[in-house]
Amino acid sequence: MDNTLPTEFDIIIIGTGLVESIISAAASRIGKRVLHVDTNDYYGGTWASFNLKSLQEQGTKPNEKQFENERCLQIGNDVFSIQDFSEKWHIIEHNEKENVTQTPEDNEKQLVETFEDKVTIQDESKEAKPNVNETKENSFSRDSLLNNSRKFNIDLVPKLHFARGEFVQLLISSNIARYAEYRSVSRVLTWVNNTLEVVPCSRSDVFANNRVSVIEKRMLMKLLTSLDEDDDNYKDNQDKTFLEFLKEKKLTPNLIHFVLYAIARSTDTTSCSEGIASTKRFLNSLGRFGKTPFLFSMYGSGETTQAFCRLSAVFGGIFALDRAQVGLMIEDDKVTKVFCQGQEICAEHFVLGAEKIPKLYTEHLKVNSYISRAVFITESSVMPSEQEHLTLFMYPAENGKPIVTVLELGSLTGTCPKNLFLVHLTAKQTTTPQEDFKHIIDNLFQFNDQSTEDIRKPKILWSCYFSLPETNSSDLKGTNHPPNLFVADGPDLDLDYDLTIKKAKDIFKQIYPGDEFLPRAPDPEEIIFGGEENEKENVEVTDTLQKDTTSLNDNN
Amino acid sequence: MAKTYDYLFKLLLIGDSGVGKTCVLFRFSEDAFNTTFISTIGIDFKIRTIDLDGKKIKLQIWDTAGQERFRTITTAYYRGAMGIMLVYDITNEKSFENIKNWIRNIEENASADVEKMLLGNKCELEEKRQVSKERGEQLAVEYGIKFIETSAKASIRVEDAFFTLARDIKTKMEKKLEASNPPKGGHKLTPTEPMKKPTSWLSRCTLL
Ligand SMILES: Nc1nc2c(ncn2[C@@H]2O[C@H](COP(=O)(O)OP(=O)(O)O)[C@@H](O)[C@H]2O)c(=O)[nH]1
Ligand SMILES: [Mg+2]
Repeated sequence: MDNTLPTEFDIIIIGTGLVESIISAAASRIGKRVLHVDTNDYYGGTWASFNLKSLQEQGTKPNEKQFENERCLQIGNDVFSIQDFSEKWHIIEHNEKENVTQTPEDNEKQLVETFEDKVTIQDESKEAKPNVNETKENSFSRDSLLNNSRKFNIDLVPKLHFARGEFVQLLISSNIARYAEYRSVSRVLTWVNNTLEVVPCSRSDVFANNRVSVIEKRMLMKLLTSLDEDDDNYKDNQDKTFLEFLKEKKLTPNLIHFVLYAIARSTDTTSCSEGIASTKRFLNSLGRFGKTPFLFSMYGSGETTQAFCRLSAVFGGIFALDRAQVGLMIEDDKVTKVFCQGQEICAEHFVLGAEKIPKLYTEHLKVNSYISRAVFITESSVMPSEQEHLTLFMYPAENGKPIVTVLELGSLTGTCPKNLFLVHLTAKQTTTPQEDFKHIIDNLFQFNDQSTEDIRKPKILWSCYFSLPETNSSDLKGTNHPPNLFVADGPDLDLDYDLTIKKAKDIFKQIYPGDEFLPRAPDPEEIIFGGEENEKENVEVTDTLQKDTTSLNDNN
Repeated sequence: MAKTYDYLFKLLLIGDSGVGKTCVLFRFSEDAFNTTFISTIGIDFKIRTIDLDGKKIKLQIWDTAGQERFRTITTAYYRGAMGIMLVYDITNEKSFENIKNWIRNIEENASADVEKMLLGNKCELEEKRQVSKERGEQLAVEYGIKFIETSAKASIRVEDAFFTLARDIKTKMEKKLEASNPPKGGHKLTPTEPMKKPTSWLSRCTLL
């Protein structure tokens, strides 16, 4: 196939991480000629999702090859890419008995799933019941998991969306929501007094929770209502910590725990205003979809990046992945061209993902903080139940360990095969990922190949650890890179994408100050093609909002 | 909102750049052939509702958005697809040879049992033909899929093609539906619900 690219663009974007992809979509959307390049053969960069085999390959990937070209500055650095990747099996290689995950019925079920009319949302209680009756033995082997490799979509950066957060708002207002599907998080757990507890965040949760007394329920209710409605809380308590504030409200320790650690995702030193803001954010997103405020992208968080790339392509953006030789050509302190596989391509503006910055600019940089990550494949849930849950589990900071965000995903999320769970752990790094998560494994999991067996704990069949640099473009200010070169930050520690959009929007506004950021893309039905055959183009975009397609009801 | 159809099928178009995928889509959805608009506005997907054996079937047919040109189709494009039209150009040998690459791509990314169909487009250009009808038929037999030659320009058998694919999906689906009660998919986000603030936490917790 002809691999030759056009050679003139308004903007060239290198790297397909989320910030880059949002900028790509936004620039194409306002009619700019966009070239979007990546050296990887997949979308997403350090934000990607991988199937099991390709994630394993991340550990063995050689650094980007150097190429000879004196006229350009090769892109790519080791500072902002994935670090310390390691993975390990905890199960046998083969199994005599064939695995239980891939059966003919399984395939059939998948097919039916595909045929489901995705328009109507059913009550979650009616959702698929995992086969509890099915006799389930631990018959997994490496082979059986690898044969199902494609059913895994493992995020480097798992994220959630607040149902009424800015990101969901943007997805809807820009019409990008149509490129992806979401599932709601069905429960929030926390670790209190050495046990796992369900955090009551909806009415039904409160009732299901027999660990919270009726009096406590009233107290909790009163507090949350006052936080939700009363803005004076901010002013009166400016110098306090959120913990002090909650103590003053005379809540029981149990309730303080729920609010402080799980709902507000705070620590003992979080300021009162920050704690209140987080709590409000949580409350504000309740009651829109499902029982918690959170949504997760079906098939993994990497799909989100692709949704923005799709919009960019629909509006004319040209994509070129898997380009080994990419470099910047600089004249008079400005980037003038991108060298790409033998071609020289000009543009006015250039955006680079953090891991694509040429080494010259990262030489003296030190990354200030890292994100610790772990991924486990387990054969049961941390809190088994009849229906499959999508679980957010906030593990509070303790003994010098950071707050850990745990996401447990089942097969209904399209990220792992049936009868298995994918567990994502994320925290601000204090030492190493292994150390940062050790206490959680000790308390809640067991390795399958461990000698002692505890029937209550899920077994880890495969584990994987890595670190991600927390990039902050302000660190890059001192590197005096050319003014028409913009650096897009990599992953951050936030639970959601609101900060990510802000970063993308900031860069977009610097480049195109007068233009609208991702205005609504028309629905295909709204694009009316007038005229007869071969007549001059006559495209009219109407404003009609007649839709007979997707409609989503609140399930309050 | 009342549904105006019985089934919704998501279909995809795949094949080399220039084989006429977008034109085929327009012939089917608008009954038009217009080469000028295609480059000027991105085509996302088109919708047409058809009647099949008394059932209303809404076909949502997705175009590649040009991402086939440098083989950068997103994995997300394949999610939930029930049928795929593999298109080549009968006047372009290379586009025919590439079909097997596209099939590999589908195998890697689409659901294992997605219904596929092979289209040899531009069939009115008999004098420029490079790929015989027999070779098309033979390839289809190899993959166990159906085959039709079409012309988006002369409006030849484009309807047939989509009706055939839709019927095969419907048959397959009805067979499966009889067998089981499927699990639900995910949420679609739409603007039908205004982004308003909920009245209050209290109002959702009246029983407390
Ligand atoms: N002669 C002829 N030309 C066609 C036919 N279908 C499409 N074309 C032309 O082929 C070119 C590519 O068509 P397009 O739909 O953009 O191809 P795509 O890249 O696969 O979407 C355009 O110039 C069309 O006019 C056809 O059936 N017959
Ligand atoms: Mg096209």
